[in-house]
Amino acid sequence: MANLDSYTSVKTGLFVRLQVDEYRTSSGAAYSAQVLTFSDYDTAKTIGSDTYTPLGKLLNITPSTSELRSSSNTITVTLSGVPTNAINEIVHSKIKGAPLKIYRGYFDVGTGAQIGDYEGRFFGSVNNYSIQEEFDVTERSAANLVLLECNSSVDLLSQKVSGRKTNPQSNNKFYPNDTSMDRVPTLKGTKFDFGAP
Amino acid sequence: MSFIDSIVGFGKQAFGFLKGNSIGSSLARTALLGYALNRVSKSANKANEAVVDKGTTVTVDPDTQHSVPVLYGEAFVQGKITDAHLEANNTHLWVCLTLCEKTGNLIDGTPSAITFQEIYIDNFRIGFRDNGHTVETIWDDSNNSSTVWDGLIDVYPFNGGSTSPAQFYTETTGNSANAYDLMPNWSSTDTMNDLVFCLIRFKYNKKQKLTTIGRDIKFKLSNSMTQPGDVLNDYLTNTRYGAGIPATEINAQ
Repeated sequence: MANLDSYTSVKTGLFVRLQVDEYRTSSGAAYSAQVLTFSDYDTAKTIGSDTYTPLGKLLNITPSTSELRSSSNTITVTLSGVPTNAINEIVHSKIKGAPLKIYRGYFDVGTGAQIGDYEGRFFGSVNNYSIQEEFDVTERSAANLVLLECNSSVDLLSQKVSGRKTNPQSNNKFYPNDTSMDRVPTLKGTKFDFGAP
Repeated sequence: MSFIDSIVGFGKQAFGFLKGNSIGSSLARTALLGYALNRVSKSANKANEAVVDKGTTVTVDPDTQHSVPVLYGEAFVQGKITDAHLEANNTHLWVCLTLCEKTGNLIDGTPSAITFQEIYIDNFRIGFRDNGHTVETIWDDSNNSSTVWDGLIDVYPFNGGSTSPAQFYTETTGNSANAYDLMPNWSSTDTMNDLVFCLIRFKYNKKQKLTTIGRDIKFKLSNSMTQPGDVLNDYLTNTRYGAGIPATEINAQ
């Protein structure tokens, strides 16, 4: 946690990392993994090996609540000014379910130097997305808003069911070549003449 | 003369006929003798049939919706039958009891280990011969011992898969064969990956009342993963039975 005791004012930036495993630019293109990194800060910043593109006011992230106890939380990430020809990338990629991480960074107002480390603000995944078009009649141009509705990992975990059941389908999800559970369904009702002459 | 006298007169005539020397009398005597022998023979066969043991019809109770449990610390588990096989001579019945998941590493990287402490069959604690897997002695709740099941049951524990034979901690030795080499209907694809399980072979014996696979089989298992931090970390990170959270996102210390 950054120590802000000695600062009278700071500026913050939110850094979004969206990992899309199946990303493509058109309906016919092949899928590839793509990590989209952007921030509402005014200059490019690097976290780890990722450089975050500064979007400034074009990125808006709804507030989230901070609680001592982990709780489910939903936020909306809004990307403004998306050109119409870039909408294909959103529509034809598999955005839903993509893991999303948001970090917060603190910076000195005067020098712009970072204060402390980047801190995790929200970890979750994209639950849904929507596109809103803003058409300017006089300019004869359109820009789009892309809204990403995200559920936190806590929310996802509360819905998650894991583990194995004693049936072949469940076992083969983890070990496709293991046949040891294959006989369980047919075993029920089977009679064994134990000790018969 | 009443009709009773007539019946008596008919009986005397018939007896006289059988005692006679005529061909008819001889044939009648032979027929009666044959009939008597037939009855005696049937009676003897019936007596023999009474001692033939027709065995017991055993049905097992597998459950396709049974969740394989995760065990930390020490606990008694019953497991679920996931396979059974009767050998060709009908005298040996194998069952496979799936007990629990094999757990991951402790935070310090040490693999957790699940050990077989004890086994109870129908509330009798089981003791083994020197080979570590053949039952020799059983004890009841009052610690009274008996050897009625001596040599009739074999118990083969496995810890983590078909190629991971284990032994009871009370024994100095145990089985060393792979599970698919023991269970008659298994092949090398029956791997039971990351499962703690046990194969049990029952030998039919009516005299010792071992005619079924036991109504209640319990194992006392112990997992070396006992510390809350280790348990929580394992449960959070495990992708098979846990939350599947990447270890890099957990600040485990």
